[in-house]
Amino acid sequence: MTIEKEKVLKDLGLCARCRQCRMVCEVPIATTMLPICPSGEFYKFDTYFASGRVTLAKKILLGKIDFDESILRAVYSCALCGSCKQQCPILNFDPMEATTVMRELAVEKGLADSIYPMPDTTPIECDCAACADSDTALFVGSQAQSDAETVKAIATALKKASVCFKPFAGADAGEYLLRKGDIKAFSAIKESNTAAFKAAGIKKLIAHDPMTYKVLKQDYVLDGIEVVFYLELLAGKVEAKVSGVKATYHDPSYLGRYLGVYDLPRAIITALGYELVEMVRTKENAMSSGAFPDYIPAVADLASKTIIGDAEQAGAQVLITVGRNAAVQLQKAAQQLGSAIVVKDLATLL
Amino acid sequence: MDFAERFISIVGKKHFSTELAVIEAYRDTLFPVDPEEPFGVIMPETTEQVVDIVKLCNEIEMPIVPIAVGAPINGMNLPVKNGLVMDMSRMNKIHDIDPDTMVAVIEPGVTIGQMIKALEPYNLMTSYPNSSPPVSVLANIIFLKGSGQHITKYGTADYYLQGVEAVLGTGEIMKTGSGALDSSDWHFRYCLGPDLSGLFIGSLGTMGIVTKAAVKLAPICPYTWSVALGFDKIGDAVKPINYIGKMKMADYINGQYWYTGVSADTDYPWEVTGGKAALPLDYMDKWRESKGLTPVWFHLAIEGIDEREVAVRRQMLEEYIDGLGIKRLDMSNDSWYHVRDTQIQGTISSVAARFCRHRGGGWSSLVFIAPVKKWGEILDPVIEMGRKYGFDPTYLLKVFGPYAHTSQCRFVLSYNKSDPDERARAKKFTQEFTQHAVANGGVIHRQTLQPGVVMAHQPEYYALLKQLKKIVDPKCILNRGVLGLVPEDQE
Repeated sequence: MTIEKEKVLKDLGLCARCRQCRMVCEVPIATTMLPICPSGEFYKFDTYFASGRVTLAKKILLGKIDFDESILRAVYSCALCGSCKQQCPILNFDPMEATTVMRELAVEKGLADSIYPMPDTTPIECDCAACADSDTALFVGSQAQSDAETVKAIATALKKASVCFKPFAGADAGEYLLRKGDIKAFSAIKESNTAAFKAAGIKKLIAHDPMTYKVLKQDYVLDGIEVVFYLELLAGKVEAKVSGVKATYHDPSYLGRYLGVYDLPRAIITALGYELVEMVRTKENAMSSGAFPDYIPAVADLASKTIIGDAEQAGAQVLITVGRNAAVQLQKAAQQLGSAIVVKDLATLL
Repeated sequence: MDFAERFISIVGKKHFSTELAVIEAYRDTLFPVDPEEPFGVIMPETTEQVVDIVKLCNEIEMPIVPIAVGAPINGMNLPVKNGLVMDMSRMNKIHDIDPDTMVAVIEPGVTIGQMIKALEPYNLMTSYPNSSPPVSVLANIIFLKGSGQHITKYGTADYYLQGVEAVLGTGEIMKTGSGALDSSDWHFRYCLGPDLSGLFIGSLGTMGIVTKAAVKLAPICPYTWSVALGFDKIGDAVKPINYIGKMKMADYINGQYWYTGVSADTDYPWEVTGGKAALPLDYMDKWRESKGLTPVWFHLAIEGIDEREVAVRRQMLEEYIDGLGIKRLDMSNDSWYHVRDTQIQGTISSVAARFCRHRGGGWSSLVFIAPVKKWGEILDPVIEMGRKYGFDPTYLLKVFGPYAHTSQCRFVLSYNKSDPDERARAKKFTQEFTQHAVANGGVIHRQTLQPGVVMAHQPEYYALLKQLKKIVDPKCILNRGVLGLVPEDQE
C-alpha cells in the first residue's frame, strides 16, 4: 500500500469546511461566486464537492465507514480538474488528495472496475515520420486522448515550423490508470515507457495532449529527457489566417491549472489573427469541460454547456481549446444548445 | 409507499438521498462532537416543497435539521439520529432588490458572495461578516445575530431583518412584518402587536424553517479613515473604548488579542509558517515585543459618504485619543483595515484558515456577549483557562452599536481533530468556558453544545421558550434538542 495513512489524515484534517471549493471565490466580482465544480454543480449534495469527499476520505481511512456504490460514485464523479485546489484558501492543502487516496484504496480493494470505465487506450497509428535520426520524439499516444487526424495535423504544423522529430508510437502514457488510482499498473507502464525512451535515444519528448503532457512532465521522472508541449515549438512561427473573428479560449484543466500554461495558446490564437475575448470563467478559474472518456457524460454535458454559455456571453464566434476530447465535448454541447459558436481544437487551425 | 418514496415524490429523486455517501458527508462538524446518523438528506427548492416535507415529517414524527449551505462547521445544526437533514442551498433566489426602499428579499441559500455581486451595481450592501463567500446571508449572519463589520454602527446583524416567511413545525406558513400584509412590500419589520420576526432570530431552525426574508440594505461609504490603538492590558482599554463607542466617534471598533487580526499582508513572521498557519501565543508575544507592539490592540474606523463627514469625526476622535495619550500602532498594511475589500475573498482565507491549520483542522468559535465594562474581569481568565488545557485561545472583540451597549467576545480555539485527547480537552475547555461566561454575566447566544449550563442559570426563561416552541412545533420535529427545547414529555 502506497498511502501514508497518518500523513493523509493530517492533510485532510486541514479542510476548514469553508465551501470555497464550490465556486470561484476570487475577485473580480463578475467572476466571484460562479460555480466551478462540475460534479457538485450536477449532484448538488455536499458529497460531490471537495469538502464532502474530504469528509468521506477521512472516515474511510479511520475505518468508520467502508466503500459502497454511493461512495464509489462520489469518488469517481470527481473530474480531477483542480478547481477546488485553485479556490482552497488553505496553504499547501490539495482537496483532490481525498479523491486520489480513495481511488487508490478502491483499486486496492478490487472495487474500482465496477465503476470506472477504462477508456480505449489502443495506440494511435501514426504516418507522420519526419527525421528518423532525431533525438526529439512526438509522443503519439492512444485513442483515449486523440486520433490519427489530429496527430497528423500537429505533425504537419511542427514540420512547417522546421521542427525535426520522429514519432514515438505504440504506447500510451498510462494517464487513465493514474486517474483510476491504479498506481501499480501506472508505475509499470511508466517504467516500460521510460526504458523505451532511453533505448530510442530520446532527449526531448513532445506531448500534444494536455493530460499526456501533465503525466509525462509531472508523474514521470525522466532524467535527461525534456518534455515540451507542441505549442511551445510553434510560438512565433504561426502566420495569420483570419481577421476580424472574435475567438475565446477554453483552458483545459491539465494544461492550465496543473501546468500553468495560460498565455501560450492565447498568443498563438492571436498570431493566427483572431480577436481574443475572455470568458468570465477563465485561466485559473476556468470550468472544466469534463471531456474525459472515463467521465460521467451527464456531468460533462452540464459543464461543457456552461462553457458554451460563457463563450456566448463573451461575444465569441469561435471557441478554441487544446485537445481533441475537449473540442469534441464542447462541440457536442454547442450543438445541443443550438449555439452558433464554432468549436475548434487549436491543432486543427495551425 | 415508504418514507423515502414520499420524500422523493416531493423534491424528485435527484434531491433526496439516504445513501451512505450523502449521509456521512453531512455528518460532520469542526466542533469536538460526533454528529448522529440521520435518515436522509433532502434539498427543497421552493417554500411549497418545504411545507410538504414538514407536513410529512409531522405525520411520521421525523426530526428535521435545516442547514443553509453545506454542512455545519460550528456545531449548531447537527444531524440527529433518524432525522432528516434539510439542505437549503437550492433555495438561493434573490427575489427582489429595491434600491429605493433599501430592502432585498432573499432565500436562505443566498450566499454572501452572491449578495455582494448582486448589490454591486447599486453601491449597496447588507451585513456581512468576515467569513467565507459561500455561506448563507440569512442563516450564518442575520438569523445568527451575526457580527458583521457594521456591528458598531447598527448593532447585531438582525438589525437588517425586515420580515420573514417561515414554515412552522405544523407545516403552516407564517409571514411577519409588512410583507405579511402585502408580500411585495417589505418596507417595515413590524405589524400590530409583538415583533414576531424575532421569534426566528437565533432559533437555529427550532421555531420554524425560514424560506424567505427581507433584509435592509445600507450604502457602501466610499470615504474611510482608521487608526490602531494599543493597550498593555485589556482593562486599560475599557474606559476609552466605551467612551468612543458611546459618543459614536467610530463606526467600527474591533479589538483583538495578538494574532487574531493579523492577515496575510502584514509585517508578520511568515517565514515561520509559510504564510497562513497561526502561531503559538508565546511566539507571537516575542515577535510583538520585538516590534514594540502592545498585547492588545483595537482597530477603529470611521466611514462616510462625504470626506467632510469623515474629517470632522476624525478630528474629534484624534483629539480624544491623543488627549489620553493612547498609543497608536502602525497597522496600515493589515487587511482588517480594508474589511470591505477583503469580504469577497473571505477571511477564511486569511484568519480562520490559519487556525484550522494550526493544529489539525479543529476550529471552535466560542462567543458570549458582555458589556465593555466587564472585559477586564472576564477575558483574561479565558486565556489562562485555555493554556491550562494546552491551547492558545485568542479573542476578538466587537463593540455593539449604535452606542456601545454591549460587546461580542469571541474566542477562537484550534485543535487537532484527529487526536481524541485533544478533542476531549477542547470539549472540556468549551464546557468550562461556558460556565465561566455565564457565571460572570455573559450571555451565550449561539454556542449550543452546553444548553444545560445556560438553562440552569435561566430556568424561567427556558420554560417560556419551551412553551413557545410547543405552539409553533407541537411535535418538536424542528432541530430538536439544539437549544435544549425538547419538552420533558418528548425527551
